Amino acid sequence: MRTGSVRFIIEGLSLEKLMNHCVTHGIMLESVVRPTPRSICATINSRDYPIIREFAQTQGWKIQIGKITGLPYLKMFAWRRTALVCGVIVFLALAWYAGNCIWKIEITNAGPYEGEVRQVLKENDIHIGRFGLLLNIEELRLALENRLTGLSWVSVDKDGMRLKVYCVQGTPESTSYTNEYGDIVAARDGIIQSVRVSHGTSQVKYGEAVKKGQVIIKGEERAWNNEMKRVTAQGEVLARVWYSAEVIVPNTEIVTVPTGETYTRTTFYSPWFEYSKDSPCSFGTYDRDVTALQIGAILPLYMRTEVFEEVTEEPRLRNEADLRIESSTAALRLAHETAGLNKAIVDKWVEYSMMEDGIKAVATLEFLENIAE
Amino acid sequence: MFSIRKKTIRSAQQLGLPEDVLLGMPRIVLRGNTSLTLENHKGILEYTDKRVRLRTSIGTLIISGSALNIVKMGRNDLMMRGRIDEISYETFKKL
Repeated sequence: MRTGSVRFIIEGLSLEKLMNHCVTHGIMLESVVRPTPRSICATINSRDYPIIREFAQTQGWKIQIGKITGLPYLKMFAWRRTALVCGVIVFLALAWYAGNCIWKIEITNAGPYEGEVRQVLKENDIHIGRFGLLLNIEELRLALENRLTGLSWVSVDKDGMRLKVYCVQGTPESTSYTNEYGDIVAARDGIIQSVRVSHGTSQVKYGEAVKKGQVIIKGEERAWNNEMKRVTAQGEVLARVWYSAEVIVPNTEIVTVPTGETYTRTTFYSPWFEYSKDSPCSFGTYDRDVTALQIGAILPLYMRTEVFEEVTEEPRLRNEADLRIESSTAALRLAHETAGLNKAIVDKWVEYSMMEDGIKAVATLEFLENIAE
Repeated sequence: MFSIRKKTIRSAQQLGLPEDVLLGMPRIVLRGNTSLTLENHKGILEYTDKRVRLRTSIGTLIISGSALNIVKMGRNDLMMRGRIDEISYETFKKL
């Protein structure tokens, strides 16, 4: 195996002898050049150099090393620069160590459980900068799965310097409003639109108004022998239901009126320092207009110009039409959020009432929903 | 001795076998006049940039030219570069 090469120059008489000696010993000579009749320059495998040197000494020739490459060169280089080599080794070791540490923890799809996931990770000594090579991923995954029962599936994966925790939240079991006898009761007040019974006996009919908590499907069925037997009621009862929300909007607003006094302040700043020859603004209440200009070419050096305009705050009555639009929009939005934004609105209306200091809007939204759920 | 060698050469020629393999004769490959490869040499007798004399099994091989240099020289083979003007044998062994 060739570990490196040595280029040497040898001076003396009858140097052909050297070449023949190499031929006899199976030494491969490369790039043999004869600069002068009394010298030869050639390249050989570094492991053959001692043979050549010994032969040159016996013949009384002068031999000099020109260039060394490969492993012998590295060996010589390292021997002369111990501190540098030690530094490189330490650097590589640190780089390897840093490359195996966890520098980012990504938690995906945990939703409200994210805090708990972080807590479990903390309890398992998982933090930024932890050495991740000896980390038992499976153990961590099991710890997460056992602790967080709200998650139906958890996967933990170490991807380079990142620890990825991917969660799938469990779907809560559908809750039936059943009482202790197995009857289904109404989840909300409403007017019945349709009834579909799988188990039990319907207690309501189309158009009937029901109150929250009223039995709508009774958990009993008539058997073949005309006897009533208890069952757990199941079914779907669609009813018109209403959600309301109210919003009060004040009829005054605070506006700023300029006094005519202005003050300009110029500041030079970068992420590390900030300098301004102007003193800070002395206005009590002001509007501020800021413009920033990069003046440092590629360097992060900026010039910020702030124009302060002194103002006074004054209350002003608002237009009633604007108040109605604003309050109704907010009330409708709030009512829809309470009902669930995915539900389709059947009907909606808003009632206004004037108050001393504002306007109150009460929005009511009508939906068609299953109150037996 | 010479008659055995002569007979071997004749047999090799009749059988169509390569003499360089059977008898260790030099095998020269010349590419244009700039590169030469020689196999089955027995050593070097003279090496200058104008002339290289090599020992072979059938005599001394002389390569003349200018800017001659040996690129590689192994136990049996040799590769040269430079401007090669002439190749000749100095003393032929009697076959």
